[in-house]
Amino acid sequence: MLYAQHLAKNIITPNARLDILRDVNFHLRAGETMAITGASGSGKSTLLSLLAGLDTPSSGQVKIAGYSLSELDEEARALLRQNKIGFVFQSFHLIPALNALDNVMLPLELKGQKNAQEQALDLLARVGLSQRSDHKPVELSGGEQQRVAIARAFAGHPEILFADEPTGNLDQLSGETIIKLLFELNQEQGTTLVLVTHDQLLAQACQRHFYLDQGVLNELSADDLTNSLGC
Amino acid sequence: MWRIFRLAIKFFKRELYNGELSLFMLSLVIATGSLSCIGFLIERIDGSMNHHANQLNGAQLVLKSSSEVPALWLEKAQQLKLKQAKMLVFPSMLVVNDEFKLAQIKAVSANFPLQGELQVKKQDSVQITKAPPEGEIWLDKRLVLFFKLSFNQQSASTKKQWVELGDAQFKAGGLLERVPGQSNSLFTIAPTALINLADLDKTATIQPGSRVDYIYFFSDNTSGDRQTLADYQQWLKAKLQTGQSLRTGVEDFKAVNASLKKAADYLSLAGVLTLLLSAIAIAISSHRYGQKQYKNNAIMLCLGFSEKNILFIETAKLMTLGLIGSFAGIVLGYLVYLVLLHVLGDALTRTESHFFLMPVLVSMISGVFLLLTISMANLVRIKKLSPMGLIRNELLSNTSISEVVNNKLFYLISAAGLIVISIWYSGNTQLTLTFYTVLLLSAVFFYFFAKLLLVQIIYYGRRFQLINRLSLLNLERHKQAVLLQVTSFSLIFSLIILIFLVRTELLDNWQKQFPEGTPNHFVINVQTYERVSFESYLEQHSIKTQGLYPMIRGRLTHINHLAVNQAVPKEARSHNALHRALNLSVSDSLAAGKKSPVQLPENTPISIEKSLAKALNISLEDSLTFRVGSQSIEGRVTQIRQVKWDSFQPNFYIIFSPGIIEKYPMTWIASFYLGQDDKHQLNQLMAQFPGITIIEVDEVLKEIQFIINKVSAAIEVIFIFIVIAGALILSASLSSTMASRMYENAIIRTLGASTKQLRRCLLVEFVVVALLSALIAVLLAEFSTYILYQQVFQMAYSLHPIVWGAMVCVSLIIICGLGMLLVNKIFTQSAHQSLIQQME
Ligand SMILES: Nc1ncnc2c1ncn2[C@@H]1O[C@H](COP(=O)(O)OP(=O)(O)OP(=O)(O)O)[C@@H](O)[C@H]1O
Ligand SMILES: [Mg+2]
Repeated sequence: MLYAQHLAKNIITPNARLDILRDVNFHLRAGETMAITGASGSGKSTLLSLLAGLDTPSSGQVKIAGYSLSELDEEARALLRQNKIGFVFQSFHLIPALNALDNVMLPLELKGQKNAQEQALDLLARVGLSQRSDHKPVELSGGEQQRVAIARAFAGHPEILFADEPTGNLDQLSGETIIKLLFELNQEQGTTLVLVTHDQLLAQACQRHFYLDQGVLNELSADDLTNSLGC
Repeated sequence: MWRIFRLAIKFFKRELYNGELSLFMLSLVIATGSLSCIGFLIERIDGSMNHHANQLNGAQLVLKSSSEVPALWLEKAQQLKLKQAKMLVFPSMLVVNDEFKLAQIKAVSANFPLQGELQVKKQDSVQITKAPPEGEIWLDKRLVLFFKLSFNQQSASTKKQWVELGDAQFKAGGLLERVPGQSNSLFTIAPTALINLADLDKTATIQPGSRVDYIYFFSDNTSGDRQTLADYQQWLKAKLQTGQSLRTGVEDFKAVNASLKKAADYLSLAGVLTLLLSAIAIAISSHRYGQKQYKNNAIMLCLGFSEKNILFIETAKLMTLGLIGSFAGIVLGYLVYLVLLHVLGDALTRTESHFFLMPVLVSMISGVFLLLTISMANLVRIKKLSPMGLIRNELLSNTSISEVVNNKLFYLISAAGLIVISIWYSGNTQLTLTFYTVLLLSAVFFYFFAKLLLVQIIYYGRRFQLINRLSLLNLERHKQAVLLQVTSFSLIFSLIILIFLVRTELLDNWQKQFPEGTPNHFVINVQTYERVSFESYLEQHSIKTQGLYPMIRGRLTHINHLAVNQAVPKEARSHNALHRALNLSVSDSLAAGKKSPVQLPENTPISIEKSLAKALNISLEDSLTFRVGSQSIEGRVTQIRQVKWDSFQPNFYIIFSPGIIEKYPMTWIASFYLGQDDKHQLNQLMAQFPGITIIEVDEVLKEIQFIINKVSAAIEVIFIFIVIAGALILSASLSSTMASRMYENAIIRTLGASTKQLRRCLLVEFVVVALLSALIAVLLAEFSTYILYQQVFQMAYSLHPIVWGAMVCVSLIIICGLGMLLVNKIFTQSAHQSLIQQME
């Protein structure tokens, strides 16, 4: 489902060369769940956007649902995003001018689905925001915005969902609701999940767990996990 | 406070360096740049027009008297350090080789002319000089032809050509090409010769009782200070007696006056319009800046800055920005203006000064003022919220621009300020207020009209599936933003159409006004018995005339049987028409104009000129009594006539229907065209009909045509400049209004919208904006043109369908083309990059 091969990203600044990611390799099968953890600034968000085709790598390649991203043109990548990929940004990126409902409806409208509004309302209900559907992002709290962003990512019925700290702003209860939602999606529709998180519990709930350290991605075995948790 | 100020400067520098201010700065520079450049041009043209008017007069102020004026008057002028020159005009005989010719002699002081160009042809070259040297006489073309003199190289060297005037002999020194101050002796009966005033006594031509006109010229010493001269004029005016008159500018030349007034109005309009255009640009970018800053300020408030500190920092920053930006703009504007002067060359170079303070002041003040008030309108909102409230609203700064018409007070202040600056700048209150009232009212009306249309477009677009679904959603959700764009673009477009229409109409009018062969000579005192032979003489010599008109001199004595002095309103008692004989005429075609339904057989119907009727408060059906010779004629006003004073045709204030008036002694007047090379015909004409008087207006006409040509060229330049400024300002506002939408489009792209889809959406949006803007612009422009033509320019109005079509095309090309180019930036980068960039 998702391959990364020798994936690297660097940025040339006037003063120095900044290697954000170095030689990232992994393979994820359809329906698997994957967690990426790592220190702040280790390159998690960068990796996620490369994997989702939102950004282009300096070298290496990404294969998603059988397509090699570097071989697709921007048009085809957009189509892929529209039909197969969902993305929750760390900073949400809701459209300020639109209310919650309109924001969630957007991907459905892009696809030209008929009952966009019902679907969107349903999704908002599932993230517990049916009361707030006509509120603009400014009028929502950080956690509420995050839930709208998650609902928006679900809306396109993606085959693979990327989420950058989906529970970062949420209290225990809402966080659990969201996690439940994510895994339901994984179970019911076989959606592949790629999650960036600081939440060890969430990471543990995933089948695969990767740790990003200064741009280098390592998969943690079950042993590593027990060690790191100190049990 | 100093610490805070330093902080403000630091922020300013950083924002400038980061490029956060660059768009803002750019629109400020463009706005003030075009304002100052057009301002400089306008001042220059204004100066140039005055200059030409002075050419006609020979000075800024002219005093004409039938006798020597008291020495005190001239001493006073000397005290005030005014420049003075003097001219004596009198008829006298010139003799060359026993040939006699009556000429009008002008004896001028050595420093004549104070203003304008005295051109004289000597030995094949035309020189621009002061008065003739002592011992020389300069002759006009008619005299030169009559005496068969020549000023070629050879003839001048081989034999001296002597002209006798009275007791003295003069050397024929040159052919007069152009003499300033023609207007002071317009009714020249005879050809002109110019001598130095110092030679006058030698000629002994002036005897007690001779008819001599004394003409005194006054001008400012410095070119800038008009006040002294104005004061002196006021002082003189009180002392004038009969036979003395004062003249400034072109007030006596109805033809020039009407044209120049229109030109001046056009320039005022152009100035106000540029000011408004600049204001739009500054407003849009200030608005956006204020919104952006709002977020930063919210954070600073949370960090412990006081409200006062923040407002102080903002004010300091904006002032600095305003001053630097407008200064840069003014310098840029001035440079462009200098380049233009160079390119245009002769068209504008006939004034002394290049630099004017007014445009600088106006650009500076309006730049800083608008910047401050409009930015503040957004910034002061922080006063109303708690720090946390501000942070909650943090994302407001990314909201579409529509969110904001919030702090009405500040907008009101900036609007009021703009109008005050406009009035001050244009110096024409009526025009400015008319312009703003019309624009404001119609803008409000058309805003709602546009809103209605937009709703209809969306409705019908959906119903008949004319527009794809996504674009429709896009339009529907950004109705406010679209309307804001439509409002500002249509305003910009309509201003340009407006100035285009006025320009075209003016140039057209002027072109028609003096076509090739406009009469430049008038003949009066043709006796009735001479009439037929005179006409056939003209025909034989193929001189084109518009025919002869009868003329009777008569004084208006009674209105409705009341002596005029009691009959007219107080302020009209000094009207010229009451103190001299009027030219009355007869015509059987009293057809045009307002006509009274009743015609009383016992009174001859009279047609009266509109402005005279208005001044003397005469209306239809009033009876007027004139004294002709020793008898009285009465008539009843049946028509009030509009006279085109800016045409060089014989015009009459009063025209009688045929019947009574022919019984009185009448003479005939005619006008015809004679080219410079046919001037000798005048001599023959005079020989044939010794009783007639020829009035040569060819010099004046030439001068007027010259002015009009120059002013036309200048008006063209101003127009082109406004178009360029408008285009720049349009693009600045387009990019400002699009900026908040770019972020949104970047997000939608990450959701999987293809570039094609997004492009199509945006294109539909631009097309709708372009079409709506064009439509509203055309409506707005037609309406304001209609009002301005009626109220200010007094020109006939008709619709301009060609402009409509052109506007739609131009609007589509500019808005869609420029818009697509602008948003292209989000498509050329990766989705992630453009998202990050647009977030800022
Ligand atoms: N466009 C860019 N220019 C310069 N540096 C960048 C750019 N994008 C990312 N970086 C740098 O790359 C590093 C990784 O960034 P990234 O956002 O991926 O971190 P992260 O692991 O998501 O951190 P966090 O957990 O705090 O969100 C950071 O040090 C960041 O400063
Ligand atoms: Mg991150």
